[in-house]
Amino acid sequence: MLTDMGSVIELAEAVDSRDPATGLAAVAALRRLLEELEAAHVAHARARGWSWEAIAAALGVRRQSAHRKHAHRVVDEAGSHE
Amino acid sequence: MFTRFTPPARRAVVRAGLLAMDAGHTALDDRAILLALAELRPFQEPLDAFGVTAAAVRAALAGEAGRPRDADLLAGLGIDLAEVRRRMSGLVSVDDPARWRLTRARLRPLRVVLSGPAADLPLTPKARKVVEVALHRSGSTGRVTGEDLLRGLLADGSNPSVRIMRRDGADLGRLAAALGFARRAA
Repeated sequence: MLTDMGSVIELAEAVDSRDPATGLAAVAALRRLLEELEAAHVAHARARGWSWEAIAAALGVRRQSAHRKHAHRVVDEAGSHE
Repeated sequence: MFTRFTPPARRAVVRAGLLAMDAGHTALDDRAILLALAELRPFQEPLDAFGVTAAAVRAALAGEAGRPRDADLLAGLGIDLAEVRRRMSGLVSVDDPARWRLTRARLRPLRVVLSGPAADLPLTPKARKVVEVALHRSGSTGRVTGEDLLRGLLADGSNPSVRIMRRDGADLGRLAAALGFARRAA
């Protein structure tokens, strides 16, 4: 995961339940949503012509990390679709 | 691999991936493929023998899963998943099949992954088998159709998707015959 876990944990502490199973499942659901959001925003940035450097800087990660994680998935407008 | 699929069959696999994501799964299983086929009916022919409705499949899946839905879990955190998804929809068209691909990992041939703007979903071994059988049935020149995907599901009687069809009262023998499956496999 590219994102700082701290913010996720803070959010999870707000779970309105004292049942650890519910709380942990909610964290897992949030992580899935986070991955989905990140992927969508990276794809959007690429479609807008952003470089991997700029995307990585905005995400606060190294360029290689962002590229390795997303490049295979993002269908660049200029690139092939397969 | 999608270059060897007909557009409706490709749309069905992508739809299956989106359904799996909605259900909070991190992998694509054969039951999601069944639900997508029941929803979209991406077939060349009407195929009356495939009578399972999307509602029936959804009900069967709801009965199986003991896990709460992501939407409910996130609501517990104060997050409205539907609203987040609604705002996301303006960014990229997540459900555009052209933005998804199905690839086999070069160094791990047993790993097939459906990758799209919103996620990477590895196929479960059974779902991978469905796709492999469908590719096999389509032959070397033909393209994978919705019927081929259904043949892939039926090829393994232990598939949870087949169990759902059977429990729904589907006449699998008739379906296999309609697909020309029983005869060719004999």
